[in-house]
Amino acid sequence: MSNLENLYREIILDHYRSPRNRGELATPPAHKVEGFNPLCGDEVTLYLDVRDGVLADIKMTGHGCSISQSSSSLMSAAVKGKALEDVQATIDTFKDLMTGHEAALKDESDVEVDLRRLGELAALQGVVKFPVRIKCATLAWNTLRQGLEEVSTS
Amino acid sequence: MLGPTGIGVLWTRASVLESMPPFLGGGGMIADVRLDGFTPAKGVARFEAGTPPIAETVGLHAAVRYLVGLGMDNIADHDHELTVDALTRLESNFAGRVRIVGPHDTKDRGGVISLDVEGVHPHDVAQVLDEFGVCVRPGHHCAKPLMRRFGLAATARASFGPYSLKADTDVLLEALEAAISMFG
Repeated sequence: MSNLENLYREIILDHYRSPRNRGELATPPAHKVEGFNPLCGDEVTLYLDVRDGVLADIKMTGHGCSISQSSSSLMSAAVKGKALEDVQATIDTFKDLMTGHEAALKDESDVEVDLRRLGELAALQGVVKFPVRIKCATLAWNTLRQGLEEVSTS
Repeated sequence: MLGPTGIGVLWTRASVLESMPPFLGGGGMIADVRLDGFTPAKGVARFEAGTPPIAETVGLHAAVRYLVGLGMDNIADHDHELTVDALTRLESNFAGRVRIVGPHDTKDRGGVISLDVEGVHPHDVAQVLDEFGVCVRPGHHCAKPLMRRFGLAATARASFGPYSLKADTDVLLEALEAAISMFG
């Protein structure tokens, strides 16, 4: 598989063409949080419905390249309905996957990411080969982390 | 203009130069310094405070010599010929699929072509083109209000230089087909 085919896997193109969980939730009760990539113009807005320690529902709007859009769609599918500690763990695991190239550069081979834990999200690992695209893949995840922090402190 | 990064030239008339105050103090830009003030040096030296970018200056000199050796008129003609060819082929091969942002006639046009590919984000266009060895600039090109005016988030921008050939445009068109078929 070429690097390009590895980057644009069918599952990524599928989520780009048919994004999951598009839309808005009423605020309140949902919490709204926005994320931007000013360098490339990508935008994502998340609506988070947190109840009893569970991310009961998540919706999103925004626009951007296939990597940012598919990553946010895959993320929403992975975290919807999950307990907050599971959501945090998934965020950590995904961020580890995206910083894998740094670990490889430093030859810290003990940094291993459990790909099984990531499920469909593992399709995004091809992004790591293209460092300038990592910020596309992590936009929604950084926005989600920020949103959950805002919910927990409000 | 093929030179190093971080260096440029400000060209003014000598009479205007004398009326322009220095914006930065440092070594080499003074005629005299007193406890109550200073007198800046005459001429361009007043704008060249501190250690100059020596390597960049030598590099810029080499670039200017190279371009003058080719002849700026020859470069403009070459650029123009490639631009006419590329615009013509883009319009005939990609009508309705690729929008050219900017003038379609080549009278007052440089060798830079901004593209909006239907259904494909500019960063994805650039990624596929990169695989074909074609380097374009995706983004808003430091012109966000203009992008908004055209209803775009970004464009993919191809440009020609003295070293470009029509065969390079062949590859650009082939890569655009590949990008469209991948995301279409």
